[in-house]
Amino acid sequence: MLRVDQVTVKRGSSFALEDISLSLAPGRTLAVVGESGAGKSTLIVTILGLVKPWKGDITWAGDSVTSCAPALVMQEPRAAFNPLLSLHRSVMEPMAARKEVASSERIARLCDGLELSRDIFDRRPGEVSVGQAQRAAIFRALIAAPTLVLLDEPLSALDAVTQKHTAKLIADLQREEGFAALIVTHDLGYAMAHADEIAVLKSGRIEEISHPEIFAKAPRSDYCRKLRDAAVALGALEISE
Amino acid sequence: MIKDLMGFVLRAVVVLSGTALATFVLLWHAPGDPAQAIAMARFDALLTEDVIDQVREEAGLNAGFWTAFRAWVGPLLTLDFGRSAVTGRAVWPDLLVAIRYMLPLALAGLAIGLAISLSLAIVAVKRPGGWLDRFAIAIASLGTAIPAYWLGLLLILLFAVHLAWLPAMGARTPEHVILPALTLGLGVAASLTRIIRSGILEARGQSFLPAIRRRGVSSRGIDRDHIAPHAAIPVVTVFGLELAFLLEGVVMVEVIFGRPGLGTFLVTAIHARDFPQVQAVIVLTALMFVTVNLLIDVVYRVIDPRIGARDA
Repeated sequence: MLRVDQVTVKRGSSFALEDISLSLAPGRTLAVVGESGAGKSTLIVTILGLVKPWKGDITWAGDSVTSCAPALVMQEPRAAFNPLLSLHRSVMEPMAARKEVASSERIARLCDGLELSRDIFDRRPGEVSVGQAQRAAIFRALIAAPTLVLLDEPLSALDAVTQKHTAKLIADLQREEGFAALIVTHDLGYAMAHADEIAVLKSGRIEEISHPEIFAKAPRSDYCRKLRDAAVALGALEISE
Repeated sequence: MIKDLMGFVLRAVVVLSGTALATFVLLWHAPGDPAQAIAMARFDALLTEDVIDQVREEAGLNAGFWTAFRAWVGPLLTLDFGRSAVTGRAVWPDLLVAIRYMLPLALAGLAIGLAISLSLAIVAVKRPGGWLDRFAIAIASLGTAIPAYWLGLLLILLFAVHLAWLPAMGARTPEHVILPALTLGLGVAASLTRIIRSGILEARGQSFLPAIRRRGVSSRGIDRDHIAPHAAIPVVTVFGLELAFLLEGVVMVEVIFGRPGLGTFLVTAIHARDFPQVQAVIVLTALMFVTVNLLIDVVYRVIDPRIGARDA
């Protein structure tokens, strides 16, 4: 289980994250939503250990998060790959690190689910579209049966149909393999549909962590209500009575 | 690919003809009387005007610039460098002997330079900003600041005069190549160290690396697949320039250590105003540069295929 315990991250004299506590069990999905600059991506890089918390602890099953070899899907998909290597080399790196070879069934399933044609793997990151790079990044995150997956805006560069298929693939694999997923997203509709819990972040603090239905029906703060109402107005969210 | 090749040939033609013309013009208009210099070199004595006039006639110096240029360029197109104005022998065989002496020195210098700079840079980046790093930078800066002619003399003083471990002059045994190669290599190492060091540090800062590291990819795998190729790009660039430095260094070092070779060949030819010999060295050097640049272009494309794609 991922445990983030009273974590505070300083940026200069202010706080990028303040007193964040949350937990995420295997097989569960936590969606982190909130305005730009709220600290969502900072939370991901802090969990990954790239930013050292000023205060607090982050553990996976009582050990450091690195021990579970967490998979990351970065917000900038092209920057997530070595520009000099073919995508094939890059996406298979987690397998190579485990000295294993991906089965052809696994590759086929991921390619089908992500609607990726295999020939793009011969290309380099600069030779594919941002959407293709994003799906390749998801492919890399999922290829080696991860235990913890951190996804930063994983669907942002995809069209609606591909978004739907990609979200379904992630959910299906998670059901079968039981990895924990932390998803940072602006898409409340996606968060509502796939997350077990939603965490709302504002100015580096958690405003609310609750079940999606509770969040939709009775947001706990003014900001959460505003966020929900905006999503409803945009048609991203429907509230059933 | 064919377009690339044609581009290369065109560039080579422009560079080579430009170099040939420039050398000829410079030599022709250099101060002093070339006929007198040639005659002095040929007979090694004080000479009368008659003899000098005869030499002028033989060397084709009184025919006018363009006639002399045409007489030189014509055979050059078939890589015939003509005959030495001093000895009357064909330039090629003597040039080949000079190259045979120069090559081991240049290669040994390059190898020493690479070995030193790679080890220094790798030690330096273990802890950037640490005392080893600062020490490596200091050594590299010192190496850049010390000119080859001074360093060569210092090495002679230490290893040949005081310690008497190594010979100072000549080229008889393989041992004779050590000190000159060290002089050359230290100069090469000085500039390469800094480039390799900053190349590695820059490569380490690539945004995708931390996530890959966390995913369990070994440090060795990261060094091999992600750091080394990225760091190699600036190193290859500088390596091309370094070869220019190396040739310049070879000339100096050969003279300091009294070694026969291309440098000594060139300096003797310049003193004697032996046009065919000087021009042979210059044209050959230019040809070498063009070829090295082509090789670097090819290496670039192997390391980073985006470079070829951008040009297309």
